Formats: sequence, C-alpha cells, structure tokens
Amino acid sequence: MGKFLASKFLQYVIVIFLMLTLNFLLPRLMPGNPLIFLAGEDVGFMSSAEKEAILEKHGLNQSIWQQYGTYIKHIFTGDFGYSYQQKRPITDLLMERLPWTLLLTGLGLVISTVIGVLFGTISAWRRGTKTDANLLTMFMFLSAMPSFWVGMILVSIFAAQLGWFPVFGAEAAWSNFKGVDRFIDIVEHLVLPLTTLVLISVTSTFMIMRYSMLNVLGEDYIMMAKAKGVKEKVIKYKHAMRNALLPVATVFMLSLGFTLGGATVIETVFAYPGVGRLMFESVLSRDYPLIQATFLIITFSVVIANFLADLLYPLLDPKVGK
Amino acid sequence: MKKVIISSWLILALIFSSFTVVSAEPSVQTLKVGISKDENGLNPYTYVTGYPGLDLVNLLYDNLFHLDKDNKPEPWLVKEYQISYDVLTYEFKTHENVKWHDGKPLTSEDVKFTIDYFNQHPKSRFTNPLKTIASTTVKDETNLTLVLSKADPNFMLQPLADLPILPKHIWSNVTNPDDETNALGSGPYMMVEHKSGQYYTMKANSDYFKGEPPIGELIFPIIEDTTAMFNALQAGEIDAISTSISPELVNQFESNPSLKVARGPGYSTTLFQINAEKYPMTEASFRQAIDHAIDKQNLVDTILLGFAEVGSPGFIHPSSSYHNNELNPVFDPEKAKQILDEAGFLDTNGDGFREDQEGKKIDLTTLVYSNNPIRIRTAELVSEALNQVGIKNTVKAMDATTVDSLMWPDFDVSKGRDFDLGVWSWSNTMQLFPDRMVELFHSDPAVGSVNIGGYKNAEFDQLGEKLKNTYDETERTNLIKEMQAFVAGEAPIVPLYYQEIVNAYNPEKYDGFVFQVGKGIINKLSFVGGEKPEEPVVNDETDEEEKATDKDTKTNTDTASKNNSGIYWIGGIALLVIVGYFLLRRKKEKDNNQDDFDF
Repeated sequence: MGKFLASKFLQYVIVIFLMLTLNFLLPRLMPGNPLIFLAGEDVGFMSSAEKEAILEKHGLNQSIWQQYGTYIKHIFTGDFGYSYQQKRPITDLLMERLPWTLLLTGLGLVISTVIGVLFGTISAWRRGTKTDANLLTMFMFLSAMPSFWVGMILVSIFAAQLGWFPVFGAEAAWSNFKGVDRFIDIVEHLVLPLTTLVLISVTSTFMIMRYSMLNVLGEDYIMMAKAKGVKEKVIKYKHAMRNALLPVATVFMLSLGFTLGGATVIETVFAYPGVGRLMFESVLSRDYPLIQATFLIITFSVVIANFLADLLYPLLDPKVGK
Repeated sequence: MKKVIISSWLILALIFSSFTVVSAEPSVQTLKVGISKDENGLNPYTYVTGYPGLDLVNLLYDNLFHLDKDNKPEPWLVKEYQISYDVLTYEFKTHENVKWHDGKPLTSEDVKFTIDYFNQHPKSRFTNPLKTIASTTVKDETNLTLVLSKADPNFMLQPLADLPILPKHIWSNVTNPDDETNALGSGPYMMVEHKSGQYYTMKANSDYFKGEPPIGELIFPIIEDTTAMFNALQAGEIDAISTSISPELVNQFESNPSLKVARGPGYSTTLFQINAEKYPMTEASFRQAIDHAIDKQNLVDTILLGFAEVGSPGFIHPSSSYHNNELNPVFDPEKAKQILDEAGFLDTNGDGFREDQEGKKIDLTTLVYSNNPIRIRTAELVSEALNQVGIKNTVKAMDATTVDSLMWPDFDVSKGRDFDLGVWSWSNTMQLFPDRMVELFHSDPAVGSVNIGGYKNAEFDQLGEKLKNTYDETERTNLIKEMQAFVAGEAPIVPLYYQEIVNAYNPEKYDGFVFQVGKGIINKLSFVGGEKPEEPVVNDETDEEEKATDKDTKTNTDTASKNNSGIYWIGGIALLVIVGYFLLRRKKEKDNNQDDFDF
C-alpha cells in the first residue's frame, strides 16, 4: 500500500507541475492582451508612455521567464494576486463566488446522480419493455437539449410568464433578508438553475448506470439468487444495484472535481454569481491572474478528486487493490 | 417507489404554486435599474465603461457643468460664470450650500485640488483635457478663476462638463488612485454597498444642493445576459434597464402595457473599416467601389428593422449640427463594377472574382466581433455585397480581444495592423466631439490616434492642422464639413449606420426619466429632482396614438394575461393527470406480467 501511494503521489506531482505550466502559458498564447481592461475605454487616446506605465505596473512588460518565476513563487505563497479587470484580490473574488457554485453544482451533481441511478436501475431491470424504451427516449431527449436553451425556456415560462421564481441572481441580497426568509429566497433563486443543471446532466449517469446494471444482471450470481427464490426487490437493489454502482462512483468522483469550475452557461443565463461565469469573463478580458487562479482551482480539485477516487476504489471494490 | 415520486411531485407543485410576485408599492422608495456589467468601484479612477459606468459615477459626484439632454453644457455646481473675450480666462462662482456626503462643504479649494490631482495622477479621459489650463486661482470659498494657455473650443464640454470634482480631504491622502475604493462625492446619491458581480445600492442624498432627489433608494442589479435582463424587466423584477433593446424585441416591449419605451438617436457609429495601408485597399478607386457596393439602407431595414439611421458617408451623425447635409449615402453596384473595371481590377481568369491590376488574385478577410449577432449579420450582408461586384472576401468572426489585437494592436496605431476589412464601431464620444475627425484620419499616429486603417493623405492632414488652430465656430463648422466631404470622396471607412437607442422602463414605478441624445435614459438628469425638460419619449407622433389606444390595449392584455395563466394552470394539471395515469397503468401492467427478464 505504501509503495502504491508513493508512486501515485509522484505521478500527481508531475501532473500538477505540467498543469501549472500549461495554466501559465495558455492565457498568454491567446491573441490580444489585457491592456484595454487595465486602461479602460480611453485606451485609444493614451500616449505610448502611459500604456507602457500601465503594463509595467502589472509586470506585463517583463520577459516571459520572469513572469513565470513570479507566478510560481506566488502559487507557493498562496498569493493569487489582483484581478486586472475587477481590481480586487482574487482570493476575495473566489471566496464570494465559490459558495454559490458549490451550492448549485454540488446539489446538481448529487440530485442528478440519485435520479440517474434510480432510473438507470429501473430501466435496466425492465430491459426491452416499454418502460425501458420510454425512459431511454426521455433521457436521450433531455441530453439532446442545449443547456442555455433549457434555461431560457424555464425562465420564460416559470419566471417571466408565471412569475413563480425570480429571473436572475442567487438571492435578492439588497433586501437584507435574515434567517428563514433568506433561506427561502435562496431556494427560490436556486430552483430554476438547479433544475436546468439536473435536466442536462442526468443522462450520463442514467446511461452509465443502465449499462453497468445490465452487465451485472448478466452475472451468474443473479441467476443463482433468482433460482434460490430471493425476493425481486432484494436482487434488484442489494445484489445488482450495489455492484453496478462502481462505474457511477468513478464518474461521480471525476465530476466532483469539476464542480468547483461551476456551470458557465447556466450561471450566465441565470446571472448566477458562480465561478464559471467568473472564469468566462476572465478569459474574455484576458485577466491573466484570474484565469490562472480559476483554472488552477479546477485543476487541483480534479487531481484531488482523482486521488480520492484512487484511494476509495479499493474500499469499494476489493478486487482492485489486490 | 412510484407513489413516492408522484406524491413528491404533487407536493412540489403545490409548494411552488404558492409563490407569486410580490406587488410593488406605488411610491418611488426603491428603483431597480439593471446594468450589464460590474463597474468596479464607482469613483472617477476605477469605473469601467463610459456608459453606464461614468453615469453611475456622476450620480455620486458632481461636475462644474453638466450636459443637458441635447448634450449642451449647462451650469451645475457653477452658479454664475464669465468668459473673457479672448476665451482664455474663465471666472466661476459655485453654489454656496454644496456639501460632501460626510457633511463637509465643497469649496473652490476642492476644484483646484481636483485639477492638480488629475494632473499628478493621470487618467487620460480627465487629465488630457486639463492640459490647456495654465493656472488655477482660488479667490475665496466659492470663487475660482481658470486661465488657459491657448483657447480650447471644447473646454466647456471637456473638462468642465466632464471632470468629476473630488473631495480634497479624502483624496489628498490617496497615493494609488487606481486601487482606491472610496466613492464619497457630493452628488445626489450616496454609495451604500457594492457586491461584486451582483449589485450596487445607493441612497438619496437628502442634503443635495439642488433639492432632495426623487428616489429614496437606487439598486443596480448586474445582469450580464441580455435575455435575462429583458426577462427581468418584463417580469417586473427590475424597473428599468441600461441596455438598449435589440430591434427584434422592440415590438414586444411596446405592446407590454406595463412598460414604456423611450427611443432616440444613438451616437455609436458602426462602420466598415478598410485597411488603407494594404494593397489593393491603398487605391482610392478600390475603396470607392466598396462604398458603392454596400446598400446601407438595406442593412438598416433588414438587420436593424428600421431602428437605426443610415450612415452618413462623412462619418458625422445627421442630427449633429456639424453634419454636412450635401452628402448622401451611395449605393450603386453597377457604378462599383465600372469603377473597378476602369481602375484595372478585372476578372482575368474567369472564376467570377476580380484580380488585381497585375493579375494576382484578391482574397480578403472581413473581421467581426463574435459576441455581437447584429454585427455578424452586418458583416455577412456586406461581404455578400462585395462578392457580388467581384471583390472576393470571407467573414471571420472572432472574440473581441482577438479582433482588436489584429485591427488595433496594443491600441496604438503606430504599431501597424494586420487585417483587410472589418466591421467596426466607435462609441458615442466620437460624435460628441466632431474634432475627433482629425484623430480618425490624420496620418501622424501622434495626432491620428484612432486612425486604425492607417489612412494617409497630406491634404486631409492640412485640414486637420487648420481645424486645430481655428476658434471661430462658423469656420470650424465649415472645416468639419469640408473634412466630411473629403472622407466621403476618399472612403477610408464606409459608415454603415447609427443604431438607435431603445430603452424601456416601468412608468408606474418612476416616470421621470430623461432621454439624453446619443446615450439613453440612464443619466444624472433622470435621477435628480426639479423641473424636467419635457417628455423623455422622442418619437412624439406615435406617442400620441399610443396614448389614445393605451387604455383598450391595457384592459385587453390584462384579461389576456389572466386567461394565459389559466391555460398554464389547466395545462399543468392535465400534464400531471396524464403522467399519473400513465405511471399507474404501468404499475398494473407490471403486476399482470410479472417477470420479463431477457438477458
């Protein structure tokens, strides 16, 4: 086990180092630079000296190696720096956005996994019946819908027309709700984006679960259990479903890593203040420090989730560790 | 299991059906105005966009003068003023009872401090216009004299009606203004809170020297997706929006009885930019052919559905007093072909497209921002029109920063350019200051700082020099008209259209909006008390008709919307019943034919 961990650890160190470098290079490989976002709209009327001064202030006229050095140094001191565009410490920005993103994508992941697993089980159990065909059609239909479209439809029906839910935002923060009122307000704001997220992401879990369940149902021990006269429910949920969950668990762990990246499209449609939107804006505005910080968070959380999955797998499936 | 699912669905449906929009109070205690971008700290150094960012700054700060709804400067902090005959000495007397938000008085010392501070810590928009000021003398608390080193015809517009006055007692301690978050000013509203990416709140400054502002609390939620913004306005969650409504939605908004639409000319100019430095665009004949090939009226009709003014070939907006009325947009594809034929751009190899004068292939690229559907459609129509007359080109849509980096590398025209053609747009300041014509086409990068096509013509340069040294208003107007005629003939750019600004708001919440020409309803005049200069709605004729029919449509649509929600209810219940029936039947079927495993 120790050797296993050590080799895994080394692998992760290399992966992280590569990611850090790519993370630094990618934004700088994009055409254009953040000048207009540093200088504002009047950039066209500035003298070269003024522009030069702005670049110098942000260390953008240094050589790429110097910039890389500062970047690595800052990462090890945990200093993400200032956002060019928002002119605020990036740590503050992320701390504001992360809770909302976790609320939305975390809940979305849990709910879509639960739904996907349940229906995947049902569908596989009744393979070839009408139920199976209907479920398959429905989930394929769901996965074919683009998220922005689902979001816009939901908004126009349930928010704009019926007025049941708010159109935008994560809470009516300016209302200064406290306690239960605030909770209700947040839930109201959450319903539509969360529904959208679940609708578009549930299919993959469903498909994996259904396929994996079908495999398990083909195993001899299921036949054996049936022959013994074990109750259907017990076979379905105890013998088959639990064993079929393994691939779903892998996908879950992987997705868990990506939850910190938020759901860019949905966050944009619902003006939800999550990390995804922050990342999108930072790319458009060539906000190098912010791009690096958001990408870095995603990288790290994916790597960590992977690592956890590696650790958990032997526990879930004793066959793997040996 | 299924029962659980069905019942939980029903419970959910019941819970959510009880949510309704809370109806708003009639008085103007709070007004929510949607904006599309976070503007950072709202002080003169840190705001982001010219509109609405600077307009929000102007709610917190005051200027000596202020632009009225027709963009003419009117005294604001200044009570009385005198300008000497040589237009070099300006004497001001400011209002006496002006206070900063913390209660300290605003005096001439603050004005002098502001001028010195912006000179010391440059912010180009505010600092550059200050360069003509030779001396600032404070006489007493309210009297101040400015002496200029040379006359400046735009001095009233910039800096006087543009420079926000900073409180000395706060900014004298600020050494790094770009990182300053303080937004304490003397304006009609005071900053309460800014939640990054979410909203700003301001409250009325009840001590304001022009009287208490009409709105108790102003909230500016940040909604980046324009569709979400329009939805929020229609759902009544916000009361006005800063974004102009896209042409295809104007009808929908006009037919909404709870909203009022204010329309007016916009000063942002969409044009077809030509790289005049690259052959064959260096040839005037080639550029003229491009101009003749494009049907500008068609762009306005099909893409903007009429909500725009056709581009004047001399760049200046037709509603501007500097506009040259003798110039008319041209469209004549046959003429375009003729010009190209005569200049030697012929289709020698018979592929349907013209080759250059030496018989080499011409294959151009038209760049356009990918985030703007209207501009993409424009680029496509223009590109098609050019292909029709035999100028081969293809549209390439890329993200804004990438297009900028090709057309205007480092925003410095002396650094060259790497494009052929492009759909481009200049913001409204270009039209507000017609002198900027010189900056647009002068060949010296130090003067022609926005000459992104690299156009060079000694004759135009001379006109530009002349304008700079002309102070007589009639002579200036004549020169600017001459320049327009020159541009129309040479076609370094092809102005396509000026998109109209269409704003919408909920008049029941607040009806005091003022439409500022070229900008829209989000401006200081909309949010201060006192007499309002007429109705904000610009299209008067249709307004009357609308009012006449307003009542009927209102009652009609009211019942219609009730019916509508009824339909939704019935539909929802029907759906639940169908789903329930379907699921229950499934269960029965399952009971009948127990196991149907097929491995």
